[in-house]
Amino acid sequence: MTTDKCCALMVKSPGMQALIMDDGRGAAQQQGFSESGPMDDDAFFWANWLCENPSSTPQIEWVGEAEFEATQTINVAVTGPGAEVQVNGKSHAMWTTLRLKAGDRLSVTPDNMGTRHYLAVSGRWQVPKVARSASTVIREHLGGLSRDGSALVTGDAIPIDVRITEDIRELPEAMRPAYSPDTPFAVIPGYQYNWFSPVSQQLFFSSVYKITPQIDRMGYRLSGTAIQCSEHALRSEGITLGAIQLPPDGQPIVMMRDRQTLGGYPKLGCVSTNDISRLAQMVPGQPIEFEAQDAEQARATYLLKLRQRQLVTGSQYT
Amino acid sequence: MQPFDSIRAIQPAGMNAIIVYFTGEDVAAANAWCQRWAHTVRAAKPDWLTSLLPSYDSLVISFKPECIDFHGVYQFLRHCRTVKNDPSGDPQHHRVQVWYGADDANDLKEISRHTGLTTDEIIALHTETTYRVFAVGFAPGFAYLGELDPRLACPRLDSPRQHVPEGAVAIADRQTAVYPSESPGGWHLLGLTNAPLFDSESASARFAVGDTVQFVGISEQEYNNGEQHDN
Repeated sequence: MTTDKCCALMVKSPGMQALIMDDGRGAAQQQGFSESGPMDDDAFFWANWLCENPSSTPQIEWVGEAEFEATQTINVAVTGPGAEVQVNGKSHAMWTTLRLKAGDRLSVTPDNMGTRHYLAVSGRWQVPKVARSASTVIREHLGGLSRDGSALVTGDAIPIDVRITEDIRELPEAMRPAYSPDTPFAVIPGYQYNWFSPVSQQLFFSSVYKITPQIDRMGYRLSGTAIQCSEHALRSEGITLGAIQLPPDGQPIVMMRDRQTLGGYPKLGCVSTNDISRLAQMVPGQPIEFEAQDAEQARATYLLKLRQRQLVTGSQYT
Repeated sequence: MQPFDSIRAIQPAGMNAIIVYFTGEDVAAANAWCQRWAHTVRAAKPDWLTSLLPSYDSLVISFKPECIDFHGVYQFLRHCRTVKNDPSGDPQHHRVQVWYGADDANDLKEISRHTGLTTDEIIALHTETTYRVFAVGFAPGFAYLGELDPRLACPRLDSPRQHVPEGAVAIADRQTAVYPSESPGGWHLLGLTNAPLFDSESASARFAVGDTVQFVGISEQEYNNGEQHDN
């Protein structure tokens, strides 16, 4: 438990797991740090915009039912898939700026257990950094309030130099992520794609996979048609976000934000970064499908998304 | 994307990254090309670069898709002249003191069984080679050092340990490493070092790719006195 006199927000209930998260340690991967950063980058981006924060400002990312208490007047925003948001027992909207007074209780109850939610607070977060990031990586014992990788616990107080603006922002409905499990997830073939026979490649793209309970910030294990690889001798190499590993049992693992930097399992490609946030919001038991997409098409989709974001935020905000 | 010169293959690694594989007679030669290319790209500081992930014989180059596409990165590489030395500084040489057979990190009997060598022979072989840092990854500050004398090569444990202590010196196949912090691990353990390998305050790792490392045996008493003489 960490308390501080300039605290702005107190954790009353952290749900299943609540972590301090910013945009991660991408540049420190060559020293062996995992990339880290928000699992749902779309929800994270908009929560900071709603609070008029720079886009890399830390937030709380959590799973499960959580409750927080304002210890002074603050502007906050809650984003993520559908959830019941209440302030002192009264319903409020997600995807909008909310004003809380000292003593106000904010509770969030997700519609589906297992989804990830984000809480942004306007102002400068006075939280420690390791390798230029406040992101918590439990496996690496680093980041977070005490720098040691601990998740938030009841009673933790978050120190923030609060900034209050009168502006209340709301994200237009059309700009909110759809979180649809039914749209296939785009995969850019790459890495050892040619080590898989044309039959295996086709099997992968024509099969339905289920999200297993073995999902965490490191990787998402899927179950379904086993995809065999003709070769297994591979020297450890860099693993990018969304890389699809096929271990000897043939069940795919999609590598997520807290993946290790290097690994030696064959990979048939990567889930497009455009679809990673949506994948991060799937819960165990959900069926999903993949479709092949070339890198240029994925890039075009990404540039379009950036353009649409800028129509809302203005070109200065990235 | 056609390979050229020291590059034997290039593959997409997602929408915003490519992985480049290098040629070489052996892993040391391919790794030298990998390091040379990593230094070259790092030194050029292209504004589209987001991260570099060098490993044994491959380099992942990640880029900002709003600035460039993978054809652009390929053209950049084609027009690069590789620099020979790391402009960020010369490789360092490290001497790492090891208490071989330390209580919490002692698989010497297991290693004897695999290799047929005595404890003294194992220590002698491990200390007489100067190793090169081929890659840093898996965990913060974890350096893959090679190559181990083939007589010392052991397979990984059948089932990984849940807790390998911080500072454990370990071997697997033709590699050796020091665990920078407590973690799970499947390598055979030789002993312990109290040389700090990873500073969480500054988030800096002691070993960088290209550095050289030599191990030196010390007694339990010297280990407990905690004296360190690096370089």
